[in-house]
Amino acid sequence: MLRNDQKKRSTKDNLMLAGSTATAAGMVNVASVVAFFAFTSNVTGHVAVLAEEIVKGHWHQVYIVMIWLLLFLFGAFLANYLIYSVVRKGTYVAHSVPVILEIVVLLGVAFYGHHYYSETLRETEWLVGALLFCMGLQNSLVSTITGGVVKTTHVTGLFTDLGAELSQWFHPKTESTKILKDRLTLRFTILSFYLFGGLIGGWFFLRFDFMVFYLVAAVMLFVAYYDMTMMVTKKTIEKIKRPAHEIQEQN
Amino acid sequence: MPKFSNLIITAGIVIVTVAVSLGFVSNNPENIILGNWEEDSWTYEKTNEPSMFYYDLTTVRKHEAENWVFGENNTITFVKNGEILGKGTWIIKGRGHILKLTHEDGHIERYDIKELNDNEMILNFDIGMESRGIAKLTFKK
Repeated sequence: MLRNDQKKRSTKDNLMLAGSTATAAGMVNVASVVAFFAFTSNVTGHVAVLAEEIVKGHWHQVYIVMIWLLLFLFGAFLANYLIYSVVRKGTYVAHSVPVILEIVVLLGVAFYGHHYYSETLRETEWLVGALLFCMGLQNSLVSTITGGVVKTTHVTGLFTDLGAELSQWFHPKTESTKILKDRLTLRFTILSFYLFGGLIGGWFFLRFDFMVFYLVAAVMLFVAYYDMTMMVTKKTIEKIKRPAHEIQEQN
Repeated sequence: MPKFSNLIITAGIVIVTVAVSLGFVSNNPENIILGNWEEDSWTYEKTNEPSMFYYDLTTVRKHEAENWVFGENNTITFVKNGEILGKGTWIIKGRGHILKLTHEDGHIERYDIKELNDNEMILNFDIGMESRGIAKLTFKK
């Protein structure tokens, strides 16, 4: 999922990355709506709310929404910045750094929320901010890795692309190519997994409160660890397949 | 190109400065809400004919001509004509736009805070009717 850059990526790589990160985003978004009454995986609504609060002169809300938007932006900035800063050490390492950072923040939210959260407004605002930072980080990471093909934290753009591509697929004067079929599969995958993530995020939050964020961190850990297990497995298989005399010579 | 970079950096500094300044200047809704609020009116925003609703209004705890006293330790006291009707706890959530009241008997009410300043508090109580109407409570301090 993370070891190939945008030029070497296969459809399977993109589908797996899209499915797992869309699940994480759906879980985070629904859990935060239930916990904090605030969306954290998309910022379209926050921009509209910012304009509304400015018009109403609710300056505390203006301040908070501005901070939230800046944190999402900073997350997106940082993910891309980190990838290009660490790329010399290998594609996999470069792509893993933002994922690890996201896992650390998610674990922090889960731990604080489960043990210390006393439902004050200040805590709510900063926890929402932390989750928006995570989603900015994740969206930018996925977008950078896939060359803008995949975005998994919101579905507005997805529905737009899906509508256009479905139209193209069914239009009698356009050709139904494999590229188009792959794109449609990708859109349906993101949509399904985002919805699936939302369902399990809401279900888990209502039963285990902030522990749900440990589960999100586990999903992201799977994203980071998957390629490593693939590489280890591949090397082990190669080793097993090698003739005995080669291994003896090596020893 | 350096000019464009400078423009972006300047805009960024201005936005961050504005946001941080607002943080110092603006008052937290948790502080504004403290004190004694006298209910001024209870109305249905979209219709004045409650019988039109499909929703069972008997399940709604109606607060009319009450005083709500918000305490510092997140306690709330419901008072009517000098008599204490009940007690509970209050929490503000979201970006400061959701008021959650929990009564002593565990009954929970959620309100959208439409306005909250030193003199006036307007709450919208969504009773699940969506487009069919929203109960609106107006308080004066």
